[in-house]
Amino acid sequence: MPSDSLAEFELLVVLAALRLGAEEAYTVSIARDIEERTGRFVRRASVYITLQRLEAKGMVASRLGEPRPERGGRRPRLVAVTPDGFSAARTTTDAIRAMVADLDGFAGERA
Amino acid sequence: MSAPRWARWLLTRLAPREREEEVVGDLEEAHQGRVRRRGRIVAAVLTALETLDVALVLLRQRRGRRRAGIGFSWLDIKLAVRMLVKHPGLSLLGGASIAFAIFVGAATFELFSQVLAPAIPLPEGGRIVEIHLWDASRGDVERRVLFDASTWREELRTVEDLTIFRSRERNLVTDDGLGEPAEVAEMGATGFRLARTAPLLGRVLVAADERPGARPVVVLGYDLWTRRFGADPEIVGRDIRLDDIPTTVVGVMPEGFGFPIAHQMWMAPGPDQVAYEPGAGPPVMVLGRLSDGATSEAAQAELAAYGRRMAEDHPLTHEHLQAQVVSLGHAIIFPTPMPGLLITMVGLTSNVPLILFLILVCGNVGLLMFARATAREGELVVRSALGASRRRIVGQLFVESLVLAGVAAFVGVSAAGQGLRWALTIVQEEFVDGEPLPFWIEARISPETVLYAGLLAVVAALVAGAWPGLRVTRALGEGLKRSRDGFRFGGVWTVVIASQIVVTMLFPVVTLLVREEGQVELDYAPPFKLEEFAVAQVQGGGAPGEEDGGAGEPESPTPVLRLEERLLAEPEVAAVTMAERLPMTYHPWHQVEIDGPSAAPPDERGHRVGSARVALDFFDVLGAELVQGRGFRFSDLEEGARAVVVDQAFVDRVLGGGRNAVGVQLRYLANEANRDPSQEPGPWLEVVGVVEEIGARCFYGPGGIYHPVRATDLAEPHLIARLPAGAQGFPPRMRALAVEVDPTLRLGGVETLVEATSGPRDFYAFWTTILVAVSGLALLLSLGGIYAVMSYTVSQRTREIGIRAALGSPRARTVAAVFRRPLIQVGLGVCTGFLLLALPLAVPAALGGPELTDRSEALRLLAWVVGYCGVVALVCFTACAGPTLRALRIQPGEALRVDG
Repeated sequence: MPSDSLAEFELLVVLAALRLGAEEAYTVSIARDIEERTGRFVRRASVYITLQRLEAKGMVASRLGEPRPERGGRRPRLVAVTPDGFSAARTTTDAIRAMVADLDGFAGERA
Repeated sequence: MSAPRWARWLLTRLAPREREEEVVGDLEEAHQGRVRRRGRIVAAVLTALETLDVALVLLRQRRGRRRAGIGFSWLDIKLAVRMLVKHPGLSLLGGASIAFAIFVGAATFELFSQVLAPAIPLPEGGRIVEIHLWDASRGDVERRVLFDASTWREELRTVEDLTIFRSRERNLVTDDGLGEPAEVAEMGATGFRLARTAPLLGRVLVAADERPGARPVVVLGYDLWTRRFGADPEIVGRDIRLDDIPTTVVGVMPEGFGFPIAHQMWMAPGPDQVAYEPGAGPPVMVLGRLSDGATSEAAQAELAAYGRRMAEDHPLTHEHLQAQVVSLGHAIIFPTPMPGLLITMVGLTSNVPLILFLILVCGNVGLLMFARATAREGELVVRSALGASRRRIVGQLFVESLVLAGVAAFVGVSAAGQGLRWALTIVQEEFVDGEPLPFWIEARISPETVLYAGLLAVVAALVAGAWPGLRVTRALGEGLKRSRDGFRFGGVWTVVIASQIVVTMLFPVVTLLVREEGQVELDYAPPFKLEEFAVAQVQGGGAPGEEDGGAGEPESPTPVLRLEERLLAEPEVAAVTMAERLPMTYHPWHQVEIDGPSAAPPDERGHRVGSARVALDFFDVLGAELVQGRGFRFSDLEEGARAVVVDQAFVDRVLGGGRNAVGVQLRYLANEANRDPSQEPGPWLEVVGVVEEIGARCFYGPGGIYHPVRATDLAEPHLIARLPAGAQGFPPRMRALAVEVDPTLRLGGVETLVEATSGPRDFYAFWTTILVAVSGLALLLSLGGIYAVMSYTVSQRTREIGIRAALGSPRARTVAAVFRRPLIQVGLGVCTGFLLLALPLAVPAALGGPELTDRSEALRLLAWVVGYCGVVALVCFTACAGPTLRALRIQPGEALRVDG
């Protein structure tokens, strides 16, 4: 797989981070967002590993946010998708879209 | 509800420092979300699983490699789970055994940790200490230290935030008119500075609250605030009544806070806590915190110097006093100081029998695993041939046991939390008279105990999995090389099975003894209806004639008597009496001497019976009938009167029953509080009547002596009200009446007699159930082990048995060949068990053996032991029946084909 594309779970994490925005995207909210939208069970440990990998690749950047009462007064590590991450997500979704484009019946079934 | 402490603790330790806040915050948020969506129990389980998942990831990252470092993969775990499901009987039996052993181990470890090495749940709670003076001449702690405390406060450099604390009982009266005794900690603002805990509502005490003439204020504890004030968020600023004095609530402390001991109310110190002359003033405790960088040794050295100086300056009061510093936990738990080394030794030695017990249990589970491994000989040979190393095969067997032990540990630790709750309830009811336990002792399982249980699970897996695995693979290697039967049961297994049989034999006997002891409680039916009585204990306040200026006018009825009158005025109350002890509760023992013949010698047990002082109408109100003689009269209260009434159990135990006890003279030699045998005996007393048994029992059994007393002479009398229509629902009314009569009158233990007497019965029922369960488990394990040995022997010797049959060997010889090893194992176990059971019968009573009044009783007991051993042997051999029959059905041709 080319370095500027994302694996399936990486793509889901990046898309969730984009949707939540830089002030609300962190491990728990990303896991919850993916669970709510896809209906699949998401291990928080998997989100940790994926975010660390994406950060190492320079596709997301992280910083500590403000303390929150629901976290017992602790700060979340907020993530923001970098231009490289945005580009990789677009490349991957384009590839998927291109692959699905000819499969009318498949796309119709899903719709 | 916060995430479990152990989960927070685990992730805090595993996460890199820069990610700690993020990881623990995520845990907290995810857990709280689950609690809201799915409830506490499901959330606890899911959070536990997720924590372990995250912990594994963090561990891998920490070690810088993908595997957790123990060399196993998920495939091993999957295979292990499959094997456990494939053999449900073995998994259930083995799992239950390990779970029980871990339950016992974890509960005991937690209890000992909380008692011997308490972690005070306050910021830097481990640095909070008590300073006291040890009186070497009396062998006791001298707590009249107000003079010394003022010096310590000025001079000590190693201990700071010194605070003086005293516990006082007050009567709390709420708006509903109900009163209850409440322990108030008088410690002032410095105490809260020492505790470093912010209030949940309002404020803590401040220096201004301690000034003379300041309005009385109080800080409430969380439990009291929720229980008596319905967690009223507007409580701050409200007035409550303490001993009829309006007192303003200024704050509420958070849940779990009970500093210094188990307090729920805090007030400024009373006016008597001022500077005193050396050795004078009320008894107090002095608490403080070790200064930054100071150790307890440094503090002790500083105090020793102080002690030497004081001994020179004030030899009259301080010559024998040594200033000592001890941790808060030890100061409260141990009334007299215990050396740290002794405490450590107690902690360590308490774990040894538990680990031995675990090893014994796991040894038997290992036996079952070993037997199962032999059935997998083909599979192991193929794996070995395909290149699996010995380490790999042993590892697989270890993982199987580890999975089993892991599940068992989860069950055991979960049960330990519940077990601890029961144990603490029993400790509270039976050993500290219902007083609350120190606030750091809780029915919780600490992360350290979870780790300890994890360690036990690993030990269990090593004993039950790795050890048999090593033996199997060694035998496998030898078998492949020498082409002979490889797996053998050695002497170790013989010892394991024999030990198991011994335990199997001993447990039912212990169960029987406990049950016999408890049966007295369970079977005893008093001659009155428990549900007709409501009881309460007057714990203080309401001094005679207090409202008349405290002079105690004789003609002025005391508040206790006025409460009695008030109770009698209630339409549903038929009668009221008072006594020092309630029937069917524990009575401290008194050793008596009889002037004349008695049934048993006045030794340890013979003449130790319960005793209580009771009002003249005590027997009438209870409805207890006099068997002989008379009841009490007014003349029995006169100076020099010596009349006592004994119960039927006393006559049976001490006088041998059947004789007329009226007129018997007796006197006290010693009692539970004063055991000194050299003390002067008490005056001679005369038995004037015998009453039927009404439940006076001490440590040595039933039997009681009753003394007549005026209600006003009892320091803390128990009020007993009889309500023929039933006492259920009356206790709150008793509280309200007490407040009406005198708001300073403190009533404790206001309940029905059914509730007041349920403790001992519940205690015995609980232990009997536990012991029956353990006996059943031990028996099952033994039978399982014996069955496994027999099955294994038959399966391994199929070829040999076939040849024997082909050569015309008699069936009896075949049976003997199969039976030989189990015969040795069962025989060894039963003989050892017999010796352990029979030996105590041979010990003379003088050396602590059982008291056998005649030879026939000894023979009867011996016959009982022999019969019991026979039954155990029979049951064990029954387990051999199936495999033996299978051996006899082996056809020579088939046997030779199978093995050849």
